[in-house]
Amino acid sequence: MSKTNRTKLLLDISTFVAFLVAMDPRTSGIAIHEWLTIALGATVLVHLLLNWNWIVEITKRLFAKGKGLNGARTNYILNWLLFVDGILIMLSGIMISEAVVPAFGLTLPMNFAWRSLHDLSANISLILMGLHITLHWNWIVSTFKRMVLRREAKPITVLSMESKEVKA
Amino acid sequence: MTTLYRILIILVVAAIIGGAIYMAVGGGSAAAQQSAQMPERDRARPEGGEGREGGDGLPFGILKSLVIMSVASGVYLAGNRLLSKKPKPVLV
Repeated sequence: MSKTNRTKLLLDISTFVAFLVAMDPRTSGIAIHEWLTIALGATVLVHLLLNWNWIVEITKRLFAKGKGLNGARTNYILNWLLFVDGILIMLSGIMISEAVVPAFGLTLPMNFAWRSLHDLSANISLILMGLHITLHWNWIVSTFKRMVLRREAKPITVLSMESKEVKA
Repeated sequence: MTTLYRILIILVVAAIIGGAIYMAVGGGSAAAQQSAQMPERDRARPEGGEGREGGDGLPFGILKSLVIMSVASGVYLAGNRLLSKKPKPVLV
């Protein structure tokens, strides 16, 4: 398995776990919720950089004819929605921040619209994230299997060699 | 250098979208005055609730998130299966 795929999978799993923790501020607390989401922004940036070639390729072929592209188009549109929703979550979160923005000595005007938007976009992100994972499920499972099987491959090879020797 | 350009592209796109959202919401001018008159209990953070310090028991929020994601995934898969199903040939 390529090193990039392994890096992608590990980054994606850790991003997903962080996303789940960030989605539950009641358990983690507001400070962790806000700082973790800022960190998530950085991991999403790396996620996009690692998948840059795919993004460029699909952007170029978005309007090209071809049946095989339908799945990729759905995926592409969904990814854009997730990206826009992520920005909405971050922006509305900054506007109602109680930990990150005050830590920099800044105060922002209170606005109830941002609070409602933050809640709404967070709920939408759950649906979009569910769909995003579903569309990439085959890749996740196959990459995970390859990663795990590669580690277990060595003892299996040794055992088979020993059994051959016994048979001879 | 290529990576830096890519980062710049992502950040610029994010800034454009963010700016558009900020403009659409009103940037906290008119609505800010409206919310300043609201009682404190109405301004409570929607997803924050009472446990602002955190660590108040089981992570039900995580379970809730997982359930919502599973439901979304299930609905998508079911819809996909229904749409891709070929109609049975009618025997005459």
